[in-house]
Amino acid sequence: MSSIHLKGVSRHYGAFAAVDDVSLDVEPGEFVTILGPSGSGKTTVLTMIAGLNQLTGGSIHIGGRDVTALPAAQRNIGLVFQSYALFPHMTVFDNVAFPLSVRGIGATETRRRVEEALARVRLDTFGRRKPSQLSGGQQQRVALARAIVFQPDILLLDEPLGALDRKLREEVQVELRRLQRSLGITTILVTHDQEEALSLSDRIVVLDHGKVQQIAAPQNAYLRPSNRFVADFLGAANVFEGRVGSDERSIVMDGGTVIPCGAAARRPGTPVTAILRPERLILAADEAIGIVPAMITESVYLGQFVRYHVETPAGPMIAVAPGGNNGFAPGARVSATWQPDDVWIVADGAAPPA
Amino acid sequence: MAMIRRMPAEFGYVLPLLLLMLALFILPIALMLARSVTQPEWTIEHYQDLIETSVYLRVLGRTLQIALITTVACALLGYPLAYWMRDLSPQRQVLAVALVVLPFWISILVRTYAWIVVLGNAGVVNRVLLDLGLVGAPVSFLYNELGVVIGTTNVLLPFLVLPLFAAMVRIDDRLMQAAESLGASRATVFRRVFFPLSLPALAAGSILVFILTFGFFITPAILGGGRVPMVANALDLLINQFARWETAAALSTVLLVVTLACFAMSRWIGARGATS
Repeated sequence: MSSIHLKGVSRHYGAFAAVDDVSLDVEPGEFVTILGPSGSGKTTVLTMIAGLNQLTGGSIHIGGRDVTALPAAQRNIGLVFQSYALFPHMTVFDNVAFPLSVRGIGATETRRRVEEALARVRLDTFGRRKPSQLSGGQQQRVALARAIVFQPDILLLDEPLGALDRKLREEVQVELRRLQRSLGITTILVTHDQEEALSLSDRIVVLDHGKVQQIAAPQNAYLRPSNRFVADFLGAANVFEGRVGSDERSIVMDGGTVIPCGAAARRPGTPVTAILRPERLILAADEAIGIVPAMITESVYLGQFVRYHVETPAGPMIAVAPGGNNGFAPGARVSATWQPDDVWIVADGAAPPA
Repeated sequence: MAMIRRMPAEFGYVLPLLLLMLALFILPIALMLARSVTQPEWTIEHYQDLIETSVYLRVLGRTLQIALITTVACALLGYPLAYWMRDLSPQRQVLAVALVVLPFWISILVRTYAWIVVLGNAGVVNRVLLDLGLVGAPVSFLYNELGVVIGTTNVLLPFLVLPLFAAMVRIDDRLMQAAESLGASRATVFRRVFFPLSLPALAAGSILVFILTFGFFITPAILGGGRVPMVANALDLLINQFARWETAAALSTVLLVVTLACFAMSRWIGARGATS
């Protein structure tokens, strides 16, 4: 169990900053996910922690030790690649034994630890096979066993579930979380999949264009995004643009529609952008009781959920409701309502043209 | 079964070419080889001849030796070259491949005669060695096995470098990164990950060089100056000087068998490399 501290970590390629001044403190035993679109620099951060990529600025400490200038081989980090990177010419057993044999660990001890690691990922009977004889999910688990067998200080996972199909991915997610908890190992996972980030992590680091956008627990990142990018990247959102009302607890849109919201913490008249998550927007059959009237324009049945597209005085909105029999048909006149606290101001809006 | 049923349709397309090959290539070779056991009647005396006449065994032995030395020399020169080319930027790789292939554009005859100019007693190499005082008298590079090995190595090096380079480029960098992150030193990464993965291509390229040297004619003929006859040169003598077609046919059969055995080995190694 080791802490990880990134301080002002940067990676420039000429004038281009792939990673720009990233600072992050990971507690011992914590599971942190770096989430971002492709090209956001998230994998670069991971390879710099692993020692496979040089920093152009900043420092990295693992377990209190400055590893900034340390070669990858001496960092004692378990790394799982997106492509698994299993050695194709070695058996599963030899793959998992590799980090032990380069550390000069004896045959008996190696056998015991490899078998234990393979048992942990439930592949104890696969030791004699070659990686090419395994399925993608099994290869992924071998890579995981290989990354934990030498009791590394920290575990780094680069889109480990990216190549798996959806059902398998959910299974491996659960298994990964169970494994991480039982080992108590500090873990950083990199992904572009917001569901994966939300379901696995203690905290999420949202990265875009090499810069940290937000560091927060999953629920906070989802419901209280720090800016419009985080709001959009973590899921669908209804967006309101307007000015803070005189009570500081509402947003007045350009058309005059008043949107009740939580404490704005901004002066009345400040232009702002706010979001409301679709599952927090509640549709009621009675037109009169809601905050704004709404008309269903489309209903999309998704099994567990139904997604409604509605037209309101505040513009088009999306609502997600549990799937049931008593849904609304397109054309139905309903009303939309929400808890004011669920409307979250993400940014000061652009100043209106003079 | 499916293949046999599908054969006729495809067979029709290749039939003309197949017949042409059969009539102009396979049949003459078969007739030629058949001479070794059918002239003047069914006999194995020409093979007995090969075994009992020490000169043929010596030629075969020397050919084998030169082929092995050339193969090892090509491997020792070609492996580091291919490894170095792998780490170049893509533009430089194109340039390096072009330089490796460049000799193919020059006639093998011209290249071989060029070695005479370079390696002769008054050649560039000897003059430099003499001027530096490294040797007292000119080193004889030509008209001996050393000259033949130098010449064949030069001509055949690209046959090893190109496939080896292509295979090395395909080795995923992330495998080496993974090995490094698992605690392996640079040397260990090379020894336990990179080298084993490049080995099938090295073996296949080496076998190709070996096969080509085994039947090489021009370079040994010129740089050996008739003093280092290899199998192909012996065949030339047997047919053009002594008109002993039967013995030549027997010797050719031996050459073909060795070549096919090497080819089978390279296929086997290739197949093993593909499954691992």
